[in-house]
Amino acid sequence: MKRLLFTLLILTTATAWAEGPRNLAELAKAIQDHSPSVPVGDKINTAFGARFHNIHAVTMGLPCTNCHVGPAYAQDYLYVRKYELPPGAPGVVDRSTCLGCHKEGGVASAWYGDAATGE
Amino acid sequence: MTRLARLIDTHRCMGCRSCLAACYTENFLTPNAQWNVMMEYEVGRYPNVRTQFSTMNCMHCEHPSCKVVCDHIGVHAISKNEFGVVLIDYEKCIGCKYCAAVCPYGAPQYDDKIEPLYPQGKTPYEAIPYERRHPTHRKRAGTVEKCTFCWHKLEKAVEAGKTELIGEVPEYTPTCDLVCPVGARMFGDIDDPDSTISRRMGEKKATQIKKEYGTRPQVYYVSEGGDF
Repeated sequence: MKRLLFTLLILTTATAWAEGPRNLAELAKAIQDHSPSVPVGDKINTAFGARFHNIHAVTMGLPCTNCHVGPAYAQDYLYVRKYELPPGAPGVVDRSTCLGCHKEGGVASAWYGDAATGE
Repeated sequence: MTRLARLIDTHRCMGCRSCLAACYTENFLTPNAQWNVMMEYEVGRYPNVRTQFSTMNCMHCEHPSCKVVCDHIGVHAISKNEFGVVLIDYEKCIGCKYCAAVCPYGAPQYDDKIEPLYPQGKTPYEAIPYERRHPTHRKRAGTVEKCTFCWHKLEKAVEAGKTELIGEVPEYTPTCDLVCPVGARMFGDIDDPDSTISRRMGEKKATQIKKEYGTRPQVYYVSEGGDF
């Protein structure tokens, strides 16, 4: 019985490894294609626990401080929706963090640059 | 072709916030979602310091990342018309805030609750029924809003076939650009090389902010060094 269970475990892991994404580009593609191998949920929202945070914090494994950079915006940070954070909340987000992956040519969906609009 | 743009001269701006007040009045401000804000900060090192004012609103980008992401998730609530104005359809918006998450300028404002300006209740102006308002002023709780370049005024110029008067006469010009007491704001067609805004942009070496995002904003700034 133990041998059977062990074999099953090996087979399951091997299958998951073979089907799952192996690098960042494959992972991004799997998310975009709604692949069942990368379950990030269908709830389109930026709230914690919805798809947005599932992709970045859970699946990608980015630490909170990767995006939430500090307790307040820099004075000269030109950004309309500046807000004061309540005590204990994660820090403010600097959008320059997003550029690395989300600009044209990046691994994730292109939100920025000419490629974003197909031109 | 008409390509509408705004010019903001930070050398002239003195931070009086007239443009903010005008926007709030014209566009039925709700406290949770301001379409126009004033940035105020100090630059330099003591004793050579001064205050820098920079007013910000939606940049109406040529490549709006808000629209890209909205289309990507299949909502299609954001459109960009032939005059370059980016608009949000409140009826289609699902309030996911993805547009707010991707905009490098923080322009989209999520309005979770339509509250009156004063705790005593609605002013007569706020009480104007939605059917008598332009669609861009029929705000709904749980949706995202932003500056429309006062599309309700520009639309009248388009309907009257007088697009050449946009930015030239008050009824066809965004209200914030009308009220500046020091002439720090200007609006018009930048595809017309002879327009006032085109000439001023050339003279003053105006440029966009945060160009590294590649969204090609249609709000230009005159600032120290000609770029920032």
